[in-house]
Amino acid sequence: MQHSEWLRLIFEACIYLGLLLFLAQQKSLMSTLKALSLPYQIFLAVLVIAMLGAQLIDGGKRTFPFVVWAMYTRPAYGDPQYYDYSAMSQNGREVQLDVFRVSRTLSSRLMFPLRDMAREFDRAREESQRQAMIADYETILRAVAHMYNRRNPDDPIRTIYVWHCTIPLHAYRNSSSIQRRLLWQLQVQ
Amino acid sequence: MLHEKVSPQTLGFARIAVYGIWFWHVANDPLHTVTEVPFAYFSPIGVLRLVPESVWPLFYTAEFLLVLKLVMLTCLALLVLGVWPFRCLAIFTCILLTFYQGLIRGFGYINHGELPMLYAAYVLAVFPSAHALSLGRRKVADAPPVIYKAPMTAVALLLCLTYTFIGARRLAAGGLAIFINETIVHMVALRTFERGSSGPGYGRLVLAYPWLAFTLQIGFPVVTGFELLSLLCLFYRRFRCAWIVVMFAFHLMTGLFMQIWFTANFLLILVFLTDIDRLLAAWLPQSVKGNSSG
Repeated sequence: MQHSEWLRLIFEACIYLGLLLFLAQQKSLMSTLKALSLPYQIFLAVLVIAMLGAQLIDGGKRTFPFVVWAMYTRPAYGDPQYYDYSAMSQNGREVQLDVFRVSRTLSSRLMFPLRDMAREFDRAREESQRQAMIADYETILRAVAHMYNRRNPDDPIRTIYVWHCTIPLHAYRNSSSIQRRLLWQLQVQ
Repeated sequence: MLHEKVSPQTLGFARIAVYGIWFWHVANDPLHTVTEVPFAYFSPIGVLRLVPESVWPLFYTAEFLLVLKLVMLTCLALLVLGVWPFRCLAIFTCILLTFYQGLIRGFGYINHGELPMLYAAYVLAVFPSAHALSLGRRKVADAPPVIYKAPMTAVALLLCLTYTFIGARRLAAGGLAIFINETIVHMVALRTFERGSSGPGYGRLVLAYPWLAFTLQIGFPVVTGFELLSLLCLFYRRFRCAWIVVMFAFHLMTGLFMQIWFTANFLLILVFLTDIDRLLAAWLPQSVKGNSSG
């Protein structure tokens, strides 16, 4: 664990310790807890400890259903960058490929990993590593295309375009001021 | 303290609200379409790792997920009605809900959306939340009042904890820099153009009107402060009123500007962080009676 991570952990643990001490001093809360039978007390204690533990150890993937509660925790610098998807249909129509909506149940749970994959292979320097990342990325893109085509059998998409977009935070006028660079292009069967 | 007096009816109402919203959520979720993403991309998380690897190919089929959905819907409907045997049914449903929520988070991104609702479902499953407002209930002899008060307080506490965690982590990991620079405007811009749940949203207004961006920048540390102190809601009424106003405004802003709608949290706040027993007492006269006899 890095030095900064340790500091974060200690700082955060101190906050929770303070809050737990505060809770322990609340007579009404403690009397409610004491009035419960032991199994109930254990159940509630386990819930709180599990949530606290997952938060402190940054568990998420190991500790689900208890996860890390962290949103917008790192300072952001520079112009925001994101990935946009468009596609060419069989009839030559250009369509917006909205991964969030197309992937339905998975929505952001697919959109964000897809974004991370694009970012990684865009930045990868080693060619073999990059090729492996691209193969994974294309597999998911094909799955997205498959989902789209199942719902649009009359005019399925044949080519997906992935755009790397940069929003000029201080020079933004309208959506045309967003810089778009073609990152990847994929033929879909 | 919040929920000083809770009647069986109030807890029954909470049960209907929580399992009802789960029913609505599951019913509207085309869960079986998940299998259109190759299984190789799925990686079990948390308690789902207890499922043997050899079994996953059987689970990861549209047919299985359709059956899972139907079983969940049936169980949730029975829980809303509060039929016997409530606890067994509720615990079984919670296991299914955990599996379902874990499954859809096994693709690399663990979002929070439904998790407070899941914790609320756990608590209501264990406590006797079907003593009132339920079909075919049997007479409950002298259940102590604390048995109704404790789950309402517990869910309120768990909900507040999630906010506290977010505030604490932001301060611990982001420090003051996150509030001083344009992080919040950066995030709004990103979430505006990165397609999300409700179209493009209104985030571009933040880029067009500097005063709006400034307001968000001022509001960001204020919201973080309220998040950090969320547990005070349980004990201080005035703070709770202010907290609810701030959090509703915050959730409305994240919905409008960032396309992140914490719909479940709106409901949980209304049910578990308001003096709902008083409100229900007006609608359900037996609520007061049940309370005093408990």
